[in-house]
Amino acid sequence: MKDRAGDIPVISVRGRTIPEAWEQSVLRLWEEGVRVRTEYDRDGDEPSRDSTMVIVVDEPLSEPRIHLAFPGGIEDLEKYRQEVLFGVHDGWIRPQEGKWTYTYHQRLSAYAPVADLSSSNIKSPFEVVDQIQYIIDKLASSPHSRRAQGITWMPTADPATDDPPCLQRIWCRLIPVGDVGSGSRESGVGSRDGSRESAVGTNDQDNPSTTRLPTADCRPDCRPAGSRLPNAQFVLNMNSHWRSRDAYKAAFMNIYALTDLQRWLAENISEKMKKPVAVGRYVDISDSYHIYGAYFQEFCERFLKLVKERPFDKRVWRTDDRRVQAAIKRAQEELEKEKA
Amino acid sequence: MLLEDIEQAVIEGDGEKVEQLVRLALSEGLPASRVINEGLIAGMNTVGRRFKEGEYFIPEVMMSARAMHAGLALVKPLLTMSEQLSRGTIVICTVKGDVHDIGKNLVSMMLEGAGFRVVDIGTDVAPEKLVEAVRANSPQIVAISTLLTTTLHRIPEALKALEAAGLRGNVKVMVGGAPVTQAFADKAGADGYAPDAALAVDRAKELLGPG
Repeated sequence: MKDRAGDIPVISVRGRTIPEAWEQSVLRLWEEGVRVRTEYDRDGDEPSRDSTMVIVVDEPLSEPRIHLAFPGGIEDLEKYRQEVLFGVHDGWIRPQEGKWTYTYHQRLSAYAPVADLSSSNIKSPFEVVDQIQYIIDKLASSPHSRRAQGITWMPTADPATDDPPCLQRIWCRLIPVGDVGSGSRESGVGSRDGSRESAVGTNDQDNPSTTRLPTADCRPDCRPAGSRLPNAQFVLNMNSHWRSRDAYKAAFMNIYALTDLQRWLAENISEKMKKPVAVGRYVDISDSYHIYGAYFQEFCERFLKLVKERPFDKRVWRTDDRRVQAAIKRAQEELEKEKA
Repeated sequence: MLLEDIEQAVIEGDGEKVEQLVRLALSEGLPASRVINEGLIAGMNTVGRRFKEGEYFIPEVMMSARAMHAGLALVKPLLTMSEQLSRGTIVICTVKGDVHDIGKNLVSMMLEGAGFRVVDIGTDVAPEKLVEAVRANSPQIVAISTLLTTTLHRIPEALKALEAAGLRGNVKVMVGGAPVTQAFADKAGADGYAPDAALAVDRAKELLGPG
């Protein structure tokens, strides 16, 4: 069915790896997105291309993980990964100096709503919540839970700022694999989420999408090493929800970092549960997924041209490439220097 | 042949290989200036041209620039004063309040690849620090950028600081960054504007004139 005038198109793409899925999302957006102005368009820019986008990455840790159409070097990608996972740039949250009002790491691991973001010295009346640790603790103790999420938005203060967070929420869920029968029973019996959700959880035993889950061993063809542990008992699924997204210049770096957060969460949940947890599919949902008009010329003259002229394997890099590994090491050294 | 291999290793962004080949070239008695001009900069010129023509992605340029740097670090100490890179000196920074450095780094590396001496004074640079750097390095060009609309007004502030310090007449000022336009650059009184890193190199060459 065609979108009606005034409707934002809803596009869904799926890929085995991050570059496959992201590239498809940008190409589909370019072809099918609605033309609409944004507050960031400059005089003379064409209207942005926009859609609601759902991206599914089946194997977020499988190589190749890097698409070459991002605006930086590998060092920048590694620093951004560490910014999201470990908060290496949380020190730049200093709105009183005209700098950042947040980082994703700060919002997820130290959420504390305030009424005013004009200074980092303003204290929240609430206790700081480490939502990342909560996700780990919650899923380790209640593997069936659907409450393992972390939010970033502060309705008390974000709407009034110039650059509020694009990422709104991450949501994680464990699905048992291997011994499917006992896994499903476990999700009903072990429920601590309240009666309504327990009931739904019990019903899940009859849900084909749960009971038909394959064991890790029966899909060796599409689950290469690094994506699934052969002896995994649980698979960590993650969804991320974005209010607004620069599809061409930000989304790939976002997905690269968020899927590494998914890996890090899986490792930590596994350690806490003392059971192997594999990394499952990653789903990335954007309300407004856009390419700004200001980028169109560069997008056509570089991205579309190279997609047409180069084979896919020449548009991507593996993270285990010797040059990439050297760049990652350089970034780590530079971050150490920044810290010192 | 060795110089061509160095050029090719830069094009491939293989820093380890560049280092090996530069060491070999120097041990075989090739002059440092030839290693730089016919190997390292020749490679980076090819990368710059390919980027400008839409044939390279940004991470490839950055990888090549890092590879060139790895070679330069070995060769530079061997240059005599007269052999120092001499196309001109550029002081580069992002404005006060902006800590984004990816665009600035790309421009910086492309300028170095084109043979300029680049003094990168970093991000979040206060006007006083810029003035200090211009006094200390006597550049021909100052390049200022910002990624944020919220710090756009810092560009005219930086220009005013150079003016107030009596330095504006000594330097050409180039501006850039996502929210910057030619119209903004003109209004701010800048001498040049470039929408991307490849054009920033062209603009710098134009500003310095033939030579």
